Amino acid sequence: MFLKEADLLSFSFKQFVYKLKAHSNLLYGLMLIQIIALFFSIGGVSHMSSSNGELSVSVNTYSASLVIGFSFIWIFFIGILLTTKQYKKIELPLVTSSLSGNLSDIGFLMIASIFGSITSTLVGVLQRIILYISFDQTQIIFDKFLISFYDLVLGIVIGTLYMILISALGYLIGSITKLSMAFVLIIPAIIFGFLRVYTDFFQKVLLVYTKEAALPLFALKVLITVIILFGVSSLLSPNKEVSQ
Amino acid sequence: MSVIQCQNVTRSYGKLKAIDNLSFAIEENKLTGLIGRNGAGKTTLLKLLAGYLKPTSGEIEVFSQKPFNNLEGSSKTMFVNDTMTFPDSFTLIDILSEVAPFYANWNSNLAKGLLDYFSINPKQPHSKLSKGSKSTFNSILGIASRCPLTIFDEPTSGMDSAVRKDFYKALLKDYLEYPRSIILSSHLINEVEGILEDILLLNQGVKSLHLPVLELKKFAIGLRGNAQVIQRFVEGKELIYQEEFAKGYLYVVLRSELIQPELKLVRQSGLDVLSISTDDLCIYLTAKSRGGIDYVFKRS
Repeated sequence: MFLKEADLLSFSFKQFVYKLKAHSNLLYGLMLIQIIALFFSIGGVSHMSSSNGELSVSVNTYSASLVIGFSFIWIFFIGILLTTKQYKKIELPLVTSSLSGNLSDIGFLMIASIFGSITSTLVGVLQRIILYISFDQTQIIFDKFLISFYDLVLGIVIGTLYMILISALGYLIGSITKLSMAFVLIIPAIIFGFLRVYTDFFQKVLLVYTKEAALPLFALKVLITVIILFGVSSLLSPNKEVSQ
Repeated sequence: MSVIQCQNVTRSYGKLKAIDNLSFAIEENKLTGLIGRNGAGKTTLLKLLAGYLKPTSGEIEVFSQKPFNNLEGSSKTMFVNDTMTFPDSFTLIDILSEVAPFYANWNSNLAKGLLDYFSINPKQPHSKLSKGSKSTFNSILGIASRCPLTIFDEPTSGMDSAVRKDFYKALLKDYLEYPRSIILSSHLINEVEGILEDILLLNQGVKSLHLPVLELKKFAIGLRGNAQVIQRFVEGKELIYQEEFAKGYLYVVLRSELIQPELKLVRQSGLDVLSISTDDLCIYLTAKSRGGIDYVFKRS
């Protein structure tokens, strides 16, 4: 009589829409962060100059990597934020179970990742336009200055995948700290400890995600990792009682 | 059909048993009052029913299913309490329209009408409301959601007397128009007994009684008069309450059925026979020590 799966999906989707509307202010926060990052990057991310008395060369490098970096940090904190009591509490007056709550959170993080990736890519374009207008055009070395539409889309897709990965990591860390506040101290301690002791291992893990040239393979890696991360997060919550 | 079935339910917080071996059943489409004093376990029981908490032991079934972390149960249950939280990015009128898709029987005209009637500014966020307005708004959600099981936990706290009366009227009207199972917790029984059908009285996590209000009104009887005369009648009978209101004069309360056959004789002996209001009865039944507050003063 009661179609459980259909209802789980339908209520999760309703919750997702609810959260999307409720948390839209978080997306404005991202845009603010990106504008701040843009201001920092307009001065150039690195500066190099040399002269031999007759000729002096000065090179300013500009990049939107700061904008993307800030967006990555933002999505990480959004992942954690969604697991906090304050944000979980808004589910209570709705029709909810812990799984539908998680699914709607995941949906929100995906949309936030797509949004974050698109906007940070576009901020990169904006930066180029600002540079183009504000400089004498002959001074610009067109190394990767003009981006093709294909590259733009590729950048957005890859940015989205990274952001989903980072958000899933944040969500898992948030879910673990919900089990006990002690993890707030334990998790950073473990991460830093491991980083020092198993530096090579960490670098290898990092390379798995950062040095993948083939997009489908990269997407697959991210997908598998994200499913594991979100899966573990979801498994951690079903026995949690509502504390108010 | 029973909407709620509890079998030997216990819920403890550490060593404290908030609910202790409680068994009861609530029939479909009843308006039940959950009455108890502060700390009697009312909120804990309601949270168990709403699926917020798990019982430490025993079985709870709401619509024949365990309510904890149950989506189907959640879709049929509305739990109104004073900790309901809504996003600050929503105004009240937004909340009404955003919550609506979740509840199949949602009556949006009623919700808007009530919001308008109670003259709460619909353009403000939920967190900015005063305590009374918050209770009113949450109760509006409870009424408008028309869930098969609607639970109100102390819905009137903070409401002024006029709003309280209107709320009870609105609840009763909508209940009559659209019957469903409603549980209303309160510690002010005289305020709610007019609309309730059944009363479940909770005392320190234990069920004191579960009766229709009409029966509760006739449940007990009070005798007042000369102590010796009273003693003759109540010898060996279980007393609900006993108070020596003056030297040699006694006031006792006991179940009506125990004294019914001798009532004529009692009156002839010059004793006052008093009916007991449900409010007083509940106080007597949940008294921690016989003798009431006077006892404290007598000792000191």
